[in-house]
Amino acid sequence: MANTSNPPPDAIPEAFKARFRARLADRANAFETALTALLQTQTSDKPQGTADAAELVFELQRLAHSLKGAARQFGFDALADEAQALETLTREAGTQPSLRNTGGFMPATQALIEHCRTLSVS
Amino acid sequence: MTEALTRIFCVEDDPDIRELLDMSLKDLGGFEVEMAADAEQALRRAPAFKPQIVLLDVMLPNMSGPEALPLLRKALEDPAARIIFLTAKASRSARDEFLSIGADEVFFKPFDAMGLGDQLLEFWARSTNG
Repeated sequence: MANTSNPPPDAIPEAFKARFRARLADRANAFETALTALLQTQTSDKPQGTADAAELVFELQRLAHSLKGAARQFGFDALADEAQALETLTREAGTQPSLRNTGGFMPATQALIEHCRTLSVS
Repeated sequence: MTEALTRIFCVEDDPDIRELLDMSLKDLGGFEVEMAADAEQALRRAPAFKPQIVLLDVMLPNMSGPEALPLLRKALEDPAARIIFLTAKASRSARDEFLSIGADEVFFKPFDAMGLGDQLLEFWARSTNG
């Protein structure tokens, strides 16, 4: 299999890690925007499981997947693990509409948002 | 004689990963590199660049890598062009899945930013020499 071994994070120049950290605030905002829109679909008249909600859950999954890959790339393994957990939760919610309301991904998303914001200013 | 690998086109939505790819392939590897942030941009811009290798992220906004792959092949009009998926979905089954839908190779994130150029040169030599 091609390149399965993880590169040492030390091999990544510090300037790239610093930019990754700074941009975590943008990632937090993107998560928050998607989560807020998803919560709005659940308080609207639209029935659960509508395409809007499904698309927003998928957007959260995509954001989590992207963060997982980048965080792992730049050596932020705890953040990558958290993003991976959210990716799994949102994938499950994407296939089971009933989980979109009660699934654990909402608090997990909020925790990830906080983690990103903390790292971006630390 | 095999044409030397010089042109690489990357399709990656994550700005941090794009910057790292740019450093790895352009600054360290010495390749000509173009970037696109999504599949639509890639379909518009890649044909004119005539890439020898396309590094294609899997989970892209609007159109996924697997959806874009056949469109890119058609748009490039170059049977020698190689398309490699670059994905954080690291598993043997994922690799098999992506090869089965037409990828020439699968590279996984996190990738070795210092050695990616060499890995691509090795792949290019292997794939163009049969």
